[in-house]
Amino acid sequence: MAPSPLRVVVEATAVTALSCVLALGYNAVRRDGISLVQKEPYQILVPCPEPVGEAEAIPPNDPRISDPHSLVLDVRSAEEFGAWHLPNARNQPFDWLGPPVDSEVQRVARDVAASRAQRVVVYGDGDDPDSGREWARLLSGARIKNVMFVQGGAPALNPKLPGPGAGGNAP
Amino acid sequence: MKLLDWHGHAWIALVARLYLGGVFIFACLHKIAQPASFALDVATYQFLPLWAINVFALVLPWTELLAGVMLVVGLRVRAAALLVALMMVAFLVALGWALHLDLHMSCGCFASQGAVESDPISWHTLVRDGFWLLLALYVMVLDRDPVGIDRLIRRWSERHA
Repeated sequence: MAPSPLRVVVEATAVTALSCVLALGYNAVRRDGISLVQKEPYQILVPCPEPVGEAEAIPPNDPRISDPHSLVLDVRSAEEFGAWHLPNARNQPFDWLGPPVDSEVQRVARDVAASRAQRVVVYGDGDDPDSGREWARLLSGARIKNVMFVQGGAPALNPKLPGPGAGGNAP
Repeated sequence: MKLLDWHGHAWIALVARLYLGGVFIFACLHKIAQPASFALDVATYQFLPLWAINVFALVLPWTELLAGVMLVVGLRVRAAALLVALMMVAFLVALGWALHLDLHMSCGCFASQGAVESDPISWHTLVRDGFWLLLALYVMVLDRDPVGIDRLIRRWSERHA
């Protein structure tokens, strides 16, 4: 005859209590036992999936850069943008010391989607790593299609600018 | 109710019982052997408050061990199946939470976080645990105790009544 549900619950409770006794007792006598209450937060490092995708690299003379259907993002600092930028570019500075948070990437991705552009062209400092490529990959990871970056960045677009590594806010 | 009275349930439940018992005994071994590592696994889920992590990490493996052994030897099978079912519900909630957070981590079921590449959490893990939950419920409802200590005790009691 099957035991009553109440009896099953009571037995399960008794087993749980026995587990507690065994667990705490064994932990108390073993050499590598752990404290019952953790004082310091655990240093967990969960690798999240890379929120980046791949972006197409295009040469600085690619006609798509000046195409009116392209949304061009200049991801250099505001000062560098003020000194020179492509006529159709808008500034979206990339801060190397504080990489863009998800919300910022999402905001830019929404702006890009709202612009109804056919493609997004990003250019940065052309350094290694190139801020333009990094932003392009972030946008691509945010599911924006047709994202590309200019190889060599701003110095490749305007040879009068100092070359990569000559200044700017790269690390 | 005829479906529930079918004799085959006794033997299917026996197989399910032995399988579940084996899984839980196997699953508890690394957790008991390395409590600090398992506590870190629990913390990685970012589900329990800090004060509860270590106690949970200490007690859970022993509950798994006792429930597993009880299922294998046929001692208080329904109580053990109830415990397994409750643990599976807890695991499913934690797994769903981790998947919701998009955490790329090991489930910590059979190995610690170091095994993230070989045992990562996924919807497959969720389906597997769901299957084990169904097995536990099946055993809890339909176990007929064809083999095991409870049966031996009952026969001995009947003989000496």
